Amino acid sequence: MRERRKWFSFAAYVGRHGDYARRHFDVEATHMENLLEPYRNSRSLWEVLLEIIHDAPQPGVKYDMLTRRALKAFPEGFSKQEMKSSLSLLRKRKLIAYHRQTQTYSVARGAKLPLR
Amino acid sequence: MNEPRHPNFFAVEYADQVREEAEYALAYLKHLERMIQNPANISQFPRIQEYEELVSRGIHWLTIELLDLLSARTTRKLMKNALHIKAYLTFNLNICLKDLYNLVTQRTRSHFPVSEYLRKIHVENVRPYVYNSIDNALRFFMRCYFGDKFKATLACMTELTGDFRVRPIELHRKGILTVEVPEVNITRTRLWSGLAHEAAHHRLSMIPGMQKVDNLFEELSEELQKIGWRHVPKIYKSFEIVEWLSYLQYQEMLADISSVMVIGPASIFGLLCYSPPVAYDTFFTHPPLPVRVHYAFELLQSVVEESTDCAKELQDLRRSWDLYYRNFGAGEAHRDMVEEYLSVLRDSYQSDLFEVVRESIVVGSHINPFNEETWGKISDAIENKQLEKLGPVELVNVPLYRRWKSYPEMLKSERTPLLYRSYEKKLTCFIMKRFAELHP
Repeated sequence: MRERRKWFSFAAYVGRHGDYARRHFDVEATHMENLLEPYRNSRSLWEVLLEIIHDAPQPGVKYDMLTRRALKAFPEGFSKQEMKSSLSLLRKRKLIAYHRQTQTYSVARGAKLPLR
Repeated sequence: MNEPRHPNFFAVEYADQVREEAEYALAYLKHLERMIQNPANISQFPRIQEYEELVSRGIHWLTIELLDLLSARTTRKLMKNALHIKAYLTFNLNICLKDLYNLVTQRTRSHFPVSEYLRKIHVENVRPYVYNSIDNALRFFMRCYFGDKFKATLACMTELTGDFRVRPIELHRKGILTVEVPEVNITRTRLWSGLAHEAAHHRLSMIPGMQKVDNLFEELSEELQKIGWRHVPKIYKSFEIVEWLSYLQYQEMLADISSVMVIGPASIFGLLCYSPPVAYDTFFTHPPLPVRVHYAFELLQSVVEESTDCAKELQDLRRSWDLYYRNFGAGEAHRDMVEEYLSVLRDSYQSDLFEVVRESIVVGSHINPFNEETWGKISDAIENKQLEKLGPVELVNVPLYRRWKSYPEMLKSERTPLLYRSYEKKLTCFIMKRFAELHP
């Protein structure tokens, strides 16, 4: 059994530090922000792909090049399947177009790109 | 490690909550777009192009991100997408959305049609009951913690952003509590466990100077501060802040335990379905999620007898949590902090914490805290679809427990769990109505 110390006043403690700490912490808001901080500037694969395609010179960017650059952006957890589904998502939303002749992807004409 | 064939239940629930938040934000953005693009309102907005750009980019971004989330089929992908969206909402969108919404409302006098939105997500009948049921539920929880004579006027406010919060205000007289609830959570079953947790916080902040609570803090504080000094971010390395953070964490532990003691597994479900699956390794305002989950399970498992149905269900739940945690809890620094924390609690303080809460915080004589009997009533009610006779504690446990039970079936029939919530929504309406009728 641990030795019990003399009675300690929680109220006095809050009085001593409370105002100081309250100025620094809006407890709930900072908690969520703290948890999500590592993801603050994180980007999805589709965002990265769209950016690469957007920045590429005409006539666009080839699949192999896209894979290499996406792999560089996501060294961990990159999957080709995910990349294919992201490209298909972008094509379905008519943000990018695939050109069979040149086998390249480029930004669709007139598309409003949700780039940050 | 091989990825299990189906995504984990808790990952689906967390992702689905984020999906709903994102859809809510999307509905807000579309409302703002309509207002801004209305020719009658052009003169009201001098920086109209800037606003249009912001709103349109937000709509585009969220739409694509939501499609990406809905196509996710593995635990990892679900978690990654959900965290990504949640971070976007928290850091990029919510603040400017709130400011822009205030501006648009002020200038055009038009409000976001919440009822229309609720109708769209099939919980339209719930609107008239929201405030009454939240008030009554909260009053019930307050009586669990303050005793049967608790009296206060509750002023419930729903907010687009923000979190659960209960705080006293002094307008014309004392005894008024404002209750802030994130709007999107009205339609979520997590609402009730959030209220049970916040009510315990309110009890702790309103009645300081409880000898047992204070004594335990004095002892535990030293241990928490030791962990704190090792893991607190550099900018917070000061005596005052580390001590304050350990005080906040102690309060969180007491609030968690109080809520688990009163409502049982609903509290664990709420915690797991609401908390982002992140292996954070800094000492901050809340104990790490695995620590919170650990003492919650320990408490529940201590009140049920081994080899009963209830004990088996809890073991299943705990196994599912372990699998979920394996997906995001591998970071070494995080593991170290959790292990340090758990060794302090397990060896010396866990049972003291339970005892303090049982003797000093959960004091209402009208409640029968969660036990095996409660569990039996919940399972029977779900099996026989007879929810009418359930009391508040059982009621708040029904939706997520039922969803947990039907999850394997849902996967077998290859339904997309993210989109299959119709029965849960029916339950939400039912519980809202039941709480609105409650006369505490």
